[in-house]
Amino acid sequence: MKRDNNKLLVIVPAYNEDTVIENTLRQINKEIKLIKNLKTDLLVVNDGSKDNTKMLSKKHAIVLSHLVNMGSGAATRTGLKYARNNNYKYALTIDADGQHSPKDMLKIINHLIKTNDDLVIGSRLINSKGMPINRVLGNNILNLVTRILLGVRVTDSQSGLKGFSKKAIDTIEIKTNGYEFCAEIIWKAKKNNLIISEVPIKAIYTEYSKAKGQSNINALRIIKSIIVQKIKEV
Amino acid sequence: MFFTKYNLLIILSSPILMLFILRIYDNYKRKRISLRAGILLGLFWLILLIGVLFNKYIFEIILRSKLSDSTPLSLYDMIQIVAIIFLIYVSFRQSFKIEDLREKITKINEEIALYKKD
Repeated sequence: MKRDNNKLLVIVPAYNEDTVIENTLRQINKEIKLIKNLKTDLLVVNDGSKDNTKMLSKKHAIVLSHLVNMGSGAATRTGLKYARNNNYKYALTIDADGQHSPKDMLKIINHLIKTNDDLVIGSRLINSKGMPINRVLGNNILNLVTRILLGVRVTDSQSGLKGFSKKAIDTIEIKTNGYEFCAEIIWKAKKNNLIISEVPIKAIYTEYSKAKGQSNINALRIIKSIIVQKIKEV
Repeated sequence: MFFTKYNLLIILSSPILMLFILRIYDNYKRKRISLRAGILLGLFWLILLIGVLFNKYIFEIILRSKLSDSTPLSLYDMIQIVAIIFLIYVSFRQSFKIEDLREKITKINEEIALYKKD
């Protein structure tokens, strides 16, 4: 990594994650320490959790709390707005359920710094080994929908591990509150002529992350929401 | 005779349709919807209004083309059409209101979270 006095914000949207949140944050903090040339902050956006997510997160990170649960899109929007308000040069979003390896976080950050890319997506589908077949199928259907409806070709439109440049932080305005925000981010990036790239990452599927993650029924909701967004844009 | 079923359909439905067109204009003026969305929604309701205003001719064309084997517009058909138009109007209005409220709640939630850092 080149020497730079810039700031990076790692955003972790979390809802009722007290079983795993401490472990996830510990691992992220461990990796953050390896980033020598960036001042890095860890932010948890507690999306109206009813369990101890907020209390446990406070030990390891800055915590912003939504009063009521609004969805992962809303939590990500709050995190990106915090990054914008506090002039962070880079932002990175990572799931709270432990689905992503914090080591992959470094890959994304390195890619952001070395290139001029604005949105770096951690793709689980470039090498989908170990990913449940229903998830591979569901994600590929959503990729196809994203391509047809939004005109963006990516291999993993639903990845929660994403890196944002300053330009992306400042220009991407998320409107949706649910999981459909992932496709919306890519769409808005394309509309704003931002450079989008993908980096292969590993997805860790535990019983917990499988239960917490998106189901294929959610995929239908996402498709509906993308269509609604598209109509609204008209 | 003025109070034919065709005219009754116009009298009952067109005020609802015109009200909705006016609301779209009002929503555009208040910047709740974009110009393009306003034009699209306005066109949708305008087509329905034109359909209602010329319902007699439309029903005659449908009957002549044998697209319907039913008798000319009955009183029951007329009530049904008015009710459907009214329900579409109510559902559109409600969905606008819900969307508006959702956006406001989201904004409040976000502002509180950013203002009151834990």
